[in-house]
Amino acid sequence: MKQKHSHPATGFTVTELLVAVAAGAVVLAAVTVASVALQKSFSAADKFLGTQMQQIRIVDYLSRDVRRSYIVTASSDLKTITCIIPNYLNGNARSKPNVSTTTTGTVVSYPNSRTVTDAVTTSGSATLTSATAAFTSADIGGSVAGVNIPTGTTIQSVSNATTATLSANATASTSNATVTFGATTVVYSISGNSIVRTENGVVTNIASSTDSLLPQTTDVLLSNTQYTTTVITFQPTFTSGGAAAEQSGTTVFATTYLRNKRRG
Amino acid sequence: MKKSLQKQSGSTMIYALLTIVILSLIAANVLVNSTTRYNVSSKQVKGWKEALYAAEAGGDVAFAEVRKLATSGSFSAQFVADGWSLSASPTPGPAYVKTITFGQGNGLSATVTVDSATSTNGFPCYRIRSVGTAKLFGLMRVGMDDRMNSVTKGDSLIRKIDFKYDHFLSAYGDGDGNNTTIQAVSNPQITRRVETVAVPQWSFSRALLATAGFDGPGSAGLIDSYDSKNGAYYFAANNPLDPHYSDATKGDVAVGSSSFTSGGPIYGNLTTDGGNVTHSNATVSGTIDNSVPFSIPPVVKPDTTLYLSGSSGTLIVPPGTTAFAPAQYVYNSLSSGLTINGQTGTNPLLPSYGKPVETYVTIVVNGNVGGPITIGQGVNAKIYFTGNLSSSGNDLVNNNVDGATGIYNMDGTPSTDYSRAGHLQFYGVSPTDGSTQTISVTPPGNVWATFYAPSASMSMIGNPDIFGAIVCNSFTGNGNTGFHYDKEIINSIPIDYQVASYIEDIR
Repeated sequence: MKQKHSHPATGFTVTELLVAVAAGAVVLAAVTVASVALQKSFSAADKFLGTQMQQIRIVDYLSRDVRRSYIVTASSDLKTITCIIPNYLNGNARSKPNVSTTTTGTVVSYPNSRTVTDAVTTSGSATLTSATAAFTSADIGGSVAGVNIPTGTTIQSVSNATTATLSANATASTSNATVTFGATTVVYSISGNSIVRTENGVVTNIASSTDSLLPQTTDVLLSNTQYTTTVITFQPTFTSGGAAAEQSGTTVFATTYLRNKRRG
Repeated sequence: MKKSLQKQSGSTMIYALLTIVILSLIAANVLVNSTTRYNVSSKQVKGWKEALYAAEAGGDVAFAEVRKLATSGSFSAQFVADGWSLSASPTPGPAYVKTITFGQGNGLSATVTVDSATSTNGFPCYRIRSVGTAKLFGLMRVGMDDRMNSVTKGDSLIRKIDFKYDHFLSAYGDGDGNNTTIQAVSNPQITRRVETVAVPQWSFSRALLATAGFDGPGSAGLIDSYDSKNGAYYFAANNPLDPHYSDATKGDVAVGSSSFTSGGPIYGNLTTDGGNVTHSNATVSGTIDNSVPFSIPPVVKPDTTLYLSGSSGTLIVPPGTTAFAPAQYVYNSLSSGLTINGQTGTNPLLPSYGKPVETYVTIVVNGNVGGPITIGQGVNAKIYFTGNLSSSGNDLVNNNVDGATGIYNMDGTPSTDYSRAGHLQFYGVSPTDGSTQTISVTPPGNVWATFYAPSASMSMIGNPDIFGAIVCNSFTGNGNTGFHYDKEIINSIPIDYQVASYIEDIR
């Protein structure tokens, strides 16, 4: 009888090792690739969600301010929005409303931001007259908002109860214009790759480009100052279907009506 | 030969299992992070929006209550009857408060306060303050978007979530800086505060409103105004030295289209919607604004279920009527004419004894108005009609007097319902088929009455003068017709209220 040949339980053959190492290398490569891909995917998904939150935040900020504005105007490139908001607060206290009847309807004003409907401006002149404005020296430095008056204009001096000099010239001649004095001015604009909200000169970034927000695609359309339509998109990280198609798929639309619509 | 069985070492399977485990952990991490962030952020966004919905819903409830005042008249009685409680603030009051809870798990609530903060034309306006609160159920986490960078302000700046304490009460107290207090919240919550002002609306806030077009007055006619509180009309619009000059130049005309033609002067302001009117092509003493759109809601026929059936001849208004509780009658037509008489004072101890007192009647005519209509002193008649109105001035007889001289209230005090025209009010019910009513006032004779018929084509032909106010679809006046707006008419009872101001307290 042939003696049985016993195999010791020792290691692998060279071939086995080579195969195992090769297989292991493939698996590790796959793990590495998958891990990197998943991390990228996580990052992209996280940015996508974060940017969606920013879209919603922009809309929420804008809607809140438009809703309570007297007047909302947009720049010609639709990238800057100016909201004229009644100055409701007097220190820590809320102001009592004043109600008056005009030829164009009932107007509610607050003492710190009153509205007249008989303002007269002349193109290229900084003089504003109004028979009902009752200007006093306390008005100096206060904001002035209305049609044909540049954004950010203030009262520079007061000649008498009916005449004031503005810090900027009127862009056109107007009579019987609706003008609001002392209102809060909120401006939404694009600064670099961020969207900035400026309230009476105080700047706050409300959305950042760190999440690939594309502010140049932010469009604001206005119609007769009655409502604002806001369109906000961003460029997602992954654009398998083409950049334009992927970008359009992120669009958020919003429409907000002015509750305090004032002509002007 | 026996095949030797080799031991399966299985290292490849271990690698594979490890790979699956690692990938699963990474994937789970992705899902957990993403869904957590999504859930927290979306809940907070949802809560922030729902808080506004709650605040506005509360404001709507209060506004609906305010609108009832147009028919009930009593602020306190109306609100108490509908379950509102007297509130200590705002002062000086009175103010009424109500809390409404709704939503899933009663997670939404609105606390609404209403007070009469100010007035216009002697009538109160109502300030409505509503606080909407949305509870944030679930994990107590901050919004994750505050992390962006050192200058970018994220969600908490706008959404202001109260996780443990009510930040508004602690910083601003009652909203005016009084009674600040540290108050714990039962759940994380978001509150939003909205303040609106409801102002009264009158049928006749201007002399003449025509939605579709205006052609008049005739070249020999005019439109001006007066205040019947000062007595009967006289022409003063061309005399700045006259003590009633300012009352005489409030003949404001508003046209809701670009269609405007004028012959005689208008002593007042003029507005059109898209017109091309200037001081050089029209005689208008006041301001001209060609960009004022407006619309007028249609007149709906009152529900006549409880009305008494009227008959032609003479109607005696029963005693005890008020502006909010008039006598009510329904007629199929008034082509046979009608005389309406009121009451006289019955208490010999009062100065009104035997004198005419203010009485109120509402009449609905399911057809045309054509016959002579006469109202006695003190009678306030509102006449709704579904057909057309055609009459000479002499057939619309209003025996009241401007200034209310000799007329008393039921309690014996002299009447302050000064307007003669305001005692006779015609309301053209808007046809539901879209057709146009006609109102024609022909000579001879003058008319003291108001006409509110937003679907009617109104014409004044010849030389009658109308004292009062007009709301119509289109207006034509030729010849030497005159129209004189009585400023006192605006001081009638508001017909409705509208929200004229909206503030959100974003602190």
